[in-house]
Amino acid sequence: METLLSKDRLQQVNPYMFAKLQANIQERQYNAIGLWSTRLLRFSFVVLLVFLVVNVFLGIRVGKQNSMQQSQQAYNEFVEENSLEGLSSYATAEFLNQK
Amino acid sequence: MDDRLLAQRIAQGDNLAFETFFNDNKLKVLNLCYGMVHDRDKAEDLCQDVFLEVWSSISSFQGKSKLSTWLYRIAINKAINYLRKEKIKRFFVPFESVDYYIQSSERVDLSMQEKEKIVQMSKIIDTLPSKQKQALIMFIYDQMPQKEIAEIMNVSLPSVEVLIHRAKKKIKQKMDKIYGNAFE
Repeated sequence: METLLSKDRLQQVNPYMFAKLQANIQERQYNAIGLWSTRLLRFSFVVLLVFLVVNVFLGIRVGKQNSMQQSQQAYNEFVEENSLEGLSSYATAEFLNQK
Repeated sequence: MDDRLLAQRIAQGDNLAFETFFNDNKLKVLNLCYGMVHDRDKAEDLCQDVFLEVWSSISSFQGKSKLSTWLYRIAINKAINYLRKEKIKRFFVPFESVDYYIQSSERVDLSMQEKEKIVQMSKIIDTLPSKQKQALIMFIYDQMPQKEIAEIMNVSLPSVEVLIHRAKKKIKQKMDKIYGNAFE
């Protein structure tokens, strides 16, 4: 069995194999430069996307805070102007006269 | 040349060192791949991949084993990965049959019966458990000493002996079923 199988062994290698291998290595080296620039480009794109998301998020948050502040201010002004009228329905006449 | 020194020189881009290393090991690696896939063209492609891998990851060679042992481990892993992918491919394309390209079919010194037997044995080898197949191929196609096979496969020497013995026994049994007394 061993004798028969060993007859199937390859006796020689393709003489161009090393040249082909070198060409592959060179191609890989050349592609490696392209690969790094692609990676850099992808990384920049991701960073840009993150900044964009953060910016939009912060913009929404600040806008919300501003509108809350405005409504609080409007409420305060309203209370200041109408506090006595509001109290009239609950407080006694004496208390209002004292005021 | 010392293995570490050779690895260092290859890592530094010494083309002559790499060519020497390639020439010293190409036939063994090619036969290892050929034994695993039974196709000369695919074996040559795999062999190229193996040396490409060596070139790109030689800096990770730590010198704990021989450089050739490290190389054969890469070759075995590449061949196993290739066979795994082929198995998946065949699962999706079930009617695609495996072509058993036997190098000996080009040889005129072999009889038709011998060529046919080699094809049958290749088919049987493919059905062997992975470890048995690896050990047998390194033993027969690469004519490696069992001690070296044990180092490459990271198992003990008696384990290799058992693996090879079982593989041979299975092949003989199956061949005898087909041909009667196949190796008389």
